Amino acid sequence: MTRQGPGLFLYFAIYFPHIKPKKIEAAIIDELNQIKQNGVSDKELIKARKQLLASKIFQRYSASSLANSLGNAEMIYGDYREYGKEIERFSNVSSKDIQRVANSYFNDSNLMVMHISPENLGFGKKLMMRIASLFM
Amino acid sequence: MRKIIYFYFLFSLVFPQKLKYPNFQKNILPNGLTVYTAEHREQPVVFFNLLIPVGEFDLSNGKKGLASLATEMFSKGTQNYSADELSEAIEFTGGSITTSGGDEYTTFTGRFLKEDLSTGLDLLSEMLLKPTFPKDEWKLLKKQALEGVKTWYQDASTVAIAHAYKMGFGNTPMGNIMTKKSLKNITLENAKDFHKRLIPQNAVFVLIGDIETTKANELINDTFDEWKSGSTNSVRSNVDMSKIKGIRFRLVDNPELEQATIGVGLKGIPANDRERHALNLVNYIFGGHFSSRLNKSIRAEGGKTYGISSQWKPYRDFGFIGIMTSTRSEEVRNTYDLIVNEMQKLVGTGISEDELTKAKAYISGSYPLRFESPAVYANIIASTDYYGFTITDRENVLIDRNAVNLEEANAVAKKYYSPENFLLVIVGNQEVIKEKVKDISEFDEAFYKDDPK
Repeated sequence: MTRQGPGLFLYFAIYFPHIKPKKIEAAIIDELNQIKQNGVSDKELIKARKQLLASKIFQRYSASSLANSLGNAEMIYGDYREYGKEIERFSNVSSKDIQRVANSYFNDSNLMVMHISPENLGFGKKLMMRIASLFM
Repeated sequence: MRKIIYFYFLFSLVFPQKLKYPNFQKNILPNGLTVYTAEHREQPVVFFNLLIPVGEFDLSNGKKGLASLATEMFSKGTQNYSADELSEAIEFTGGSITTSGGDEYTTFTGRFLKEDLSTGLDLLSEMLLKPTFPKDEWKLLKKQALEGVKTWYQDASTVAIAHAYKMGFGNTPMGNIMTKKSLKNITLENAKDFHKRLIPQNAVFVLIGDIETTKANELINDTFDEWKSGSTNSVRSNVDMSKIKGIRFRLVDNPELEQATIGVGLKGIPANDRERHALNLVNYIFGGHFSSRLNKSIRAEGGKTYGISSQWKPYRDFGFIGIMTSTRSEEVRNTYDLIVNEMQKLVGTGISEDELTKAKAYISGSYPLRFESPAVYANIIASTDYYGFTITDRENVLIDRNAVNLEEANAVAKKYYSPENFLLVIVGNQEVIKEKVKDISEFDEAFYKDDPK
C-alpha cells in the first residue's frame, strides 16, 4: 500500500489447518530472502514492468480511475503532474534497485505476522480437510 | 446547478444525440468470417472481440453447462502450449484473453498493448483452432464445476429465476439450468464436438485500437487463415415462451428462510423488436431504477423491502420480463398485493407524460457514459449482426428512444405487464407463508434443493 507516510507490504496465505503456520511463514520469508540475496531475474523484471505498464495504460480509459490516480499523485508526491512520470519511474527500476530496497525494508524489525486460525474444528472436519488437501 | 442540469436534459430532448461510433470497416474473409476494424488512437492499445453464435441454447437437452465448460478448455492446453505456458505467455504481455460460453453465443475477448498485438492474436488462434482438451485438465475442471453447482439453491432469487424459466420455457435449453445431473452428463467428447461447431461463417471478429486498418487486416487474415468453413446447420430450436393464461403459481419451500422471495415472470420481446424502445422506457419507469414506481410503492411507502426491480431480459429470439423482491415472511401477501396493484395501475391508467420525459432524459444522459473504453464499441459491434441490428441502429438508439410517444408507451405497458396473466414463484418457509398466499391461485409445490421441474 503506497501512502504519503510509511507504506505497507502485505502478503497473505490461506492454508489447511493441519499445516504448521511456521512452515508457511518460513516459505514466504524464504522468497523475500532470495530477492534480498540475488535480486530478481531479467525475465521476472520484464514481466512485472510489462504488466504494470499495461495496467496503467488500460486504466486511462476509465475517468474514475484516472481521477483517482491524479488525486493519489497530488497526495503522495504533492503534484498531480507526477502521474505522467509514473511509467518512466518504474521502467527505470533495475534488479539491483529491487535488491537494495528489499534489504532496507524486508527485515525483522519491520515485520509483523498474524495468524488467524479456526477454533475447535473437531476431529471430523480436520480429517476431511486433511483428505481434501491430498487432492490440491 | 439545478438549472444547468435542467437545461442539459431539455437540450438532450430537443436534440437527441446521434451517438458517434468510430468508423468501422467491414470485410468478409474467404472462410466466411465477418471482420470489423476501426482505428482508435487515444492510447497505444488494441481491443478485440470474436463472437461465434453457438451457445448453451444450441445444445441438446440435458447438457446445460457444456458451452461454458468447453470454452474453458480452450485455455487448458493447445498444440503448442500447455495450460501454464499459455497463461504465462499472456501474462508476459500484460494483456488478456477471456473466453466465455454463454447462453446465446461464445466469445473470445482480448486486449493488448499494440506492440503485443501479434502475440495476442497468435495466442487467440491457438485457443480457437488448436485446443488439445487434455484429460487431466478436463477432470479438474469438471470437479470444480460440480463443486460450484452443488450449492446453487442457496440464493433464493436464483431459485426463483430457475423455476420461472422452467415454467416459461419447459424442458428446453432455455428452461433448464446447469445442475449436478446435467454436468455429470457432459463428456470430454461433447466438449470436442462443441468446439467443432465453432465455424467462421456466422462469426464476427471486431478489432479496434491504435493500429492502421490495413495492417490490422493483414494480421487478422493471418490469424484466421487456418479456420476452415463448416456446416452452418444450427440445431437451435425456435423456442419462445409459452403464452401465459391466468396466474401460474409455484411455491418453493425453504424451511430455513426468514424472508420470502417473490418473482413475477412475464413474456417480453426479443432484442430487436420494433417495440423495444417503448418497452425499455416503460420498464425503467415501472421498476428499472431507484425512484421507480415499484420501489416507491413497495420500498419507500410500503416499507416492505430493501429493494424491488423489474428487468427486461432481451434475447435474439424472445424476451423475458422479471420482477423480483424479498420481504419478511409475514409481509409476503401484502407485498404481493402491492406488486399486482402497481401492475394494475400501469395497465389501467398508464404512465404520465412527465414520467416519460424524465425517463428519456435519464437515458439520454446516462447512456453515452458507457463509452469510456473502445472495448465497449468492440463488444456492441460484435453482437450487432447477431441481434439483427445495423450500426445505424446502434448510433440512433437515443434518437429512436426519444421518438417514443405516450400512446406507444402505454400500449406497450398494457401489452406486456398483464396483472391477470403471469408466472409467480414464491420461495420461502412454507410453514409461515403458505396460509397467506394459498388463495392467490392454484399452485404447485417444490423443494428448494431439487432441480426445477
